[in-house]
Amino acid sequence: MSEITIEHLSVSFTRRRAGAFAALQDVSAHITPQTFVAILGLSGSGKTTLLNVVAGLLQPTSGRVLLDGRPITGPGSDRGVVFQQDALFMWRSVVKNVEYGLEVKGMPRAQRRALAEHWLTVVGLKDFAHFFPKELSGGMKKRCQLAMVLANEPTTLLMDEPYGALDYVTKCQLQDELLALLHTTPKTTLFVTHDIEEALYLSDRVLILSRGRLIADMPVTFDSPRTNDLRLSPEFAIAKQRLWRSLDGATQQRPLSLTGLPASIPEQP
Amino acid sequence: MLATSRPHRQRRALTYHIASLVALLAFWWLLSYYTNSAHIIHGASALPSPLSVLNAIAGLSVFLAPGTPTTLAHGLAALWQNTLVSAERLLGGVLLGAAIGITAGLLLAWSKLVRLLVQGPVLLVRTIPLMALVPLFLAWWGGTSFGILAFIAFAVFSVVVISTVEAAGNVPPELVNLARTLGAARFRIYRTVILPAIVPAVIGGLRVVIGIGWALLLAGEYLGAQNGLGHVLIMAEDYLYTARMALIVVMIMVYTFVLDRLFTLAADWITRWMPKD
Amino acid sequence: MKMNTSTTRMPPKGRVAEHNTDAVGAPGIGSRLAIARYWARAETKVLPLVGVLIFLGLWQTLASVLGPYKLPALTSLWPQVVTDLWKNRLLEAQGGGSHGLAPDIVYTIESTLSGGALGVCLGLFVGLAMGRSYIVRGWLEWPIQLGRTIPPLAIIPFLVIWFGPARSAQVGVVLFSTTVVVVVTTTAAIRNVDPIYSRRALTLGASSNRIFATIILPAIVPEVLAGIRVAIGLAWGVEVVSEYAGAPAGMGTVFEKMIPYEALAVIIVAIFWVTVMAVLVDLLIVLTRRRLTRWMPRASR
Ligand SMILES: Nc1ncnc2c1ncn2[C@@H]1O[C@H](COP(=O)(O)OP(=O)(O)OP(=O)(O)O)[C@@H](O)[C@H]1O
Ligand SMILES: [Mg+2]
Repeated sequence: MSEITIEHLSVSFTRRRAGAFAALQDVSAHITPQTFVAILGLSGSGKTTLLNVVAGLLQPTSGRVLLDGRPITGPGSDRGVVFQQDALFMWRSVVKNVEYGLEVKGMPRAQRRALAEHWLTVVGLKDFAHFFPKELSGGMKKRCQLAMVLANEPTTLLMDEPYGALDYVTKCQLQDELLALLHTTPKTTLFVTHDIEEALYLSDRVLILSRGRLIADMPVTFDSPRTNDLRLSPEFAIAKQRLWRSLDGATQQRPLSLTGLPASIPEQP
Repeated sequence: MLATSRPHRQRRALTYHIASLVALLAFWWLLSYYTNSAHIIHGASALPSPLSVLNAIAGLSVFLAPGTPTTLAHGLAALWQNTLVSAERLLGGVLLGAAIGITAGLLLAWSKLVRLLVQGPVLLVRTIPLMALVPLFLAWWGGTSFGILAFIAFAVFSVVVISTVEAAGNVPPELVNLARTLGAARFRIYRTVILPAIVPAVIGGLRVVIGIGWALLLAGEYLGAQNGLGHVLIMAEDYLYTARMALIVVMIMVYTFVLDRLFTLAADWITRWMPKD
Repeated sequence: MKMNTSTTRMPPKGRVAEHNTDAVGAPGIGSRLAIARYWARAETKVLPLVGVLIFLGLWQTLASVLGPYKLPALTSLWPQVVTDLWKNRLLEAQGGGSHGLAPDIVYTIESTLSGGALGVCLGLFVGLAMGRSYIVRGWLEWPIQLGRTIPPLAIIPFLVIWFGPARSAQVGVVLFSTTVVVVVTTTAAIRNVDPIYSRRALTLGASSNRIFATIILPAIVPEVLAGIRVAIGLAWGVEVVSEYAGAPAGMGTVFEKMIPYEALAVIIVAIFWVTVMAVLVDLLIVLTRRRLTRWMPRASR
């Protein structure tokens, strides 16, 4: 069912001269199955680090992360990761990229080809199955990565600023596609972003990280299905402003005060 | 500079190219004509004319077997035979060296301890000018075909192993992580991520050694071989058969050109997934 | 590296970067960490040295198995490295002169460097002319491509016949091989200069001569120096083998005289000295490059 429990998680890196640097400090959160959680924070706040720990690519320095009650020991195909960089196997065609995870599972050739083609259809890349990644645009590469991850049928989806480098309209399209997809096959999703609007539009809950600490945790209660009209509604603007203020406060040197922030972001009337 | 249009300039460049070749050939012919009348060294012309180079093919017949009649067919056969001998040494050496180099490079990339241990000796050996090492190989294998093949294999190995280790270290970590999150184990990651990712760098390294491949082969064949194009060339020098020398040089040029083309075609096809520039 | 212990002593607020975790708190853990960190830094320097020692040890052991005709022992080789410079009996008996390797080393250095220097000058001149004028490029491009297909060693026999077994034959071969490499890298470097720079200068009103002098020339320096480095590195080998094909002196003639006697010790000593020379000259080129490319970001030098 994939329920994620983060308990007093700290991660520190050794830097060459400066000694230990804490990228995450005492982060705790409980994420119920099939919720969409956006992790918001400024550059360098530890978002990727948190995601990497959940993905099993990074060992916590202290504390632990449980997946369905069991500690995470390493990466696994139950958690699909869409990376911040364009991580595609450049030497494989699009469809062969999507097949990779199925290959690892030892699925016979015909079966995995059929499955890969199905997922390419889902993300709208059917006609590009035999292209090399170099022939795809940025948005298509993201779609390809998503198909690659989805083909593995993970129960948890971990996405690291997947739409960071895209134009506004494409970004909105991909967001809608993602929501539609998760509607049919619900998954627990951790979605890292520094885009306030994206976080609000997609998620059921927003976690804000600042300098390695979890400084806010708020539910987002807009109705679903969400449409582009929501982006322009006054409620959305208010919620956006509040998130903005808490992020802005995070950049100030003075200790952050959480007073004035709402406990939750109001439901759409 | 900006006034002339592109296609126009390209047409003009082609005219220059062809003119340059014609001029080169004419220059060669005229110079050989002049040296033939003025500079005869021991009965041989210092610069053979293009025609006499073609005529020299028949003369190669002696390399087939002592007493073979001097005919064009026999000459071509002898040329073919020595070409095969040289090609076997060159290509065999390149393939052997590349195979060992890539394997060793991947093993080195696997373990940091071994990599650091081997790093010193490899750098030490790599600083030696490659061609200065021929005498060692000749002393060990006495100028046999295998000695020359081993020398070329060593040269190729020493270049390929370094580019393999470097390339394996430069594989983007996110690709490795991607494979890990899709459930791949370490050996599979080596086979399906590291190995394909280093191909362009290995091809780059191979291109460098193939560029000096004929030089390595000639170095080996000059210093000690009983057959092969290099042997024919150095024997011709002893007898001042300049036309025969020129023939061999022209043949080597043709082979180099063909080999280079084939290699480029193959390399472009293998790395067709790479973004160009 | 996994650090299970350090965060327990971490101060609550975010500032940890300057805090030295080793200096305070539980000394046992701290010093173990310190050792681990120290080793992480030292192993990259220590292990290669250990590797070299193992390599030399292997050589010594193999030598005692194979015998001096296949692989001379390091212990017997070591004194020879210096004494052979002045005197070697076998070499003297083979007509190599009574002064050991020294005259041959000097001959090889002189020929390589003079041929190399001439080749670099000629190559730069031709390469720059080809980059500057498309008429020169049109005329020379195909002949240069043809020249590339000739292995330098293939023209040695001609030079020996034309000039006799004299220094000019060796200098000629090295000149040829160096010129071709330098021309090819220079023209490639000019092609690789990002046109954005020339366009920027054009929009500032610079003439094409000025662009060539102030933009193209400085931009190609690193690539051209890398090409020169390759060319000179190749030149040593070309020189030595060309000496073998006919020369009054030089390392190649030492090889020629020693191979029939399987006098491996002398051959290895000769290779050693050629390598030392090659490394010294290479170092010189690298230092020059560092001096000329101080303006570049460190990574791309
Ligand atoms: N491997 C590492 N070694 C040392 N420091 C690291 C390492 N990885 C991350 N850090 C540091 O940890 C902090 C958090 O990094 P992280 O990548 O999690 O940031 P982020 O929130 O994802 O930022 P961005 O939005 O720019 O991607 C940064 O200050 C970074 O310098
Ligand atoms: Mg990040």
